[in-house]
Amino acid sequence: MKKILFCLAAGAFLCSCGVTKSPVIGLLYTDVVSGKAVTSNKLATKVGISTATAFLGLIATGDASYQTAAKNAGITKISHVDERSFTIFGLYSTYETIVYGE
Amino acid sequence: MNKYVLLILLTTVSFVGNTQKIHRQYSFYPQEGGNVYFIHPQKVFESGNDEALNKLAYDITYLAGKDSASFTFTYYTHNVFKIDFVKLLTDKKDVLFEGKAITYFIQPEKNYWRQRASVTLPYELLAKLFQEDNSFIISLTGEKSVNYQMKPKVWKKQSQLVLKIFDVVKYNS
Repeated sequence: MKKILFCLAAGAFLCSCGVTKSPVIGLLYTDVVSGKAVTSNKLATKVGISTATAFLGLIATGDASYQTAAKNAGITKISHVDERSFTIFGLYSTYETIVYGE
Repeated sequence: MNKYVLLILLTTVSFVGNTQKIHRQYSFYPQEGGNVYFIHPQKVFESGNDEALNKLAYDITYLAGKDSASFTFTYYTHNVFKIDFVKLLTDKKDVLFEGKAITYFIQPEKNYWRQRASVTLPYELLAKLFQEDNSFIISLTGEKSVNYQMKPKVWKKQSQLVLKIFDVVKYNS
């Protein structure tokens, strides 16, 4: 019984370690897109993405900034920004910033 | 206990490897003046050239109703490689398209250079390219020329994915 409880606790701990921010979080699996920001610029003709990645909840690298996402698509006027959070067992996580604009 | 750890790791690798899930590969934004479709970056083109490091990653932005789409890509080289033109060639090296490249940025990273550029090309041509049996070749031309192509197995998966997204464009326009 103690072993089972230990495994569950360790699993929950590990899962929560690598979870990215998201409006709703699944300890085992998260794949959520949500809105982040909106401006008065209505038109979007370009889309850019920037990404950050984490492994095992121990190592995290990348650049998920608005600036990089806009730069990747040559966007100078941002229309709105979405984000995508993806996590599997807390072992592998990615966080994407998706910028729309012109 | 080791078995469970292995199972979790295998499941993770399988999930991560299965990034072909279509909803994660494109974005679709409806707006006045035409829906915007965006195929997320696909790091699939390889080069045999020693100057080229890593794979070339491309993404496509298409504003519905327009004749052209924006084909944007990131490429990595040992030294700065500013390009002037982008050529798309068939598997047999016949030129299908040549367009002027717009460089977004050139920046150093560790011991190599990361460069991002874009070319505008006819949407119909793009749709046709992905219907071919073999991968087309991207030829980046500046002071020198570097070619990139997908491996046959990668091309098979990639063309199916892109054609399915083009179907989304067709049915929602």
